[in-house]
Amino acid sequence: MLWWVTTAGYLAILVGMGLTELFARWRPNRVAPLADMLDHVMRLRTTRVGIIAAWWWFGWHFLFAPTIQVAL
Amino acid sequence: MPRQPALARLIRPRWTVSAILWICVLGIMASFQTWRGAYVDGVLFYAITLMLILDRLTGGRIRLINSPLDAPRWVVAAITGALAVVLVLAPRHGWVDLVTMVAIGVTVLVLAWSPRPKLPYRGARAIKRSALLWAIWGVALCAWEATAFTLSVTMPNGLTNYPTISVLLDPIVESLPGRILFVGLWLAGGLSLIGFFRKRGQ
Repeated sequence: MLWWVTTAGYLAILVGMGLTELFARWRPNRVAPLADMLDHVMRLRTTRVGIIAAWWWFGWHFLFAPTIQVAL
Repeated sequence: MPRQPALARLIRPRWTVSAILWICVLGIMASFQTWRGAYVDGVLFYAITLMLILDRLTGGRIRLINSPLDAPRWVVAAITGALAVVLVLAPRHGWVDLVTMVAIGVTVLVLAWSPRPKLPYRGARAIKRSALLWAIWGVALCAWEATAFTLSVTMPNGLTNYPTISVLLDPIVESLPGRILFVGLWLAGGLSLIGFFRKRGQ
């Protein structure tokens, strides 16, 4: 049961992201599509480095670094 | 002192709210990784955070390369294709993956550090709304993931009841079709972030 609740949380967030993008493509003058928004905010170095670092870490985490689950 | 290129002079790093928030996010990420025992990840994020702070303190004088990296599209596509093959076929967590990921990391850091020209965009309000909505989704995802991780390591049967994204995706990436999908989407995302799919001239 708790596994489903936790997983449903991730799925709900993913669905929310998808709906946000769909709405943005339907009404781009109200909410800019993700690509346009990223193009705009990534003109600043801090944002650009932050977003690209997050992307790179995602690949690093799944392809090289082993999953760590330490008992606290 | 060498003259800075025109683009570098265009946007000087400043202590804006956005910059401070991003530095805080990267600092929190570094602390979280260290706390969960991923010390290498923690050191990497602390290093990036420190670089960005120093960049601001020195008025944007840190330069990783003298001229911007540029290559024809077919070269970028060919290199990306080769990287995809290596990442799919090499054993996960092995030294080939390590070398490949470090090479990708260094390249994208150099690309991300180089100044990027201002682009025409839709209305400022639409951009702000979009940035706010995506920030909310991003924070929600991180908060949910962090909560699941904390519960998974502190509660009885935590690992079974509160799976993290890593625990959910790990079996998928372990299979060949899953790894092909993951590597393909991940590299496509990276190409998109460095502007590979943008029309020439934009």
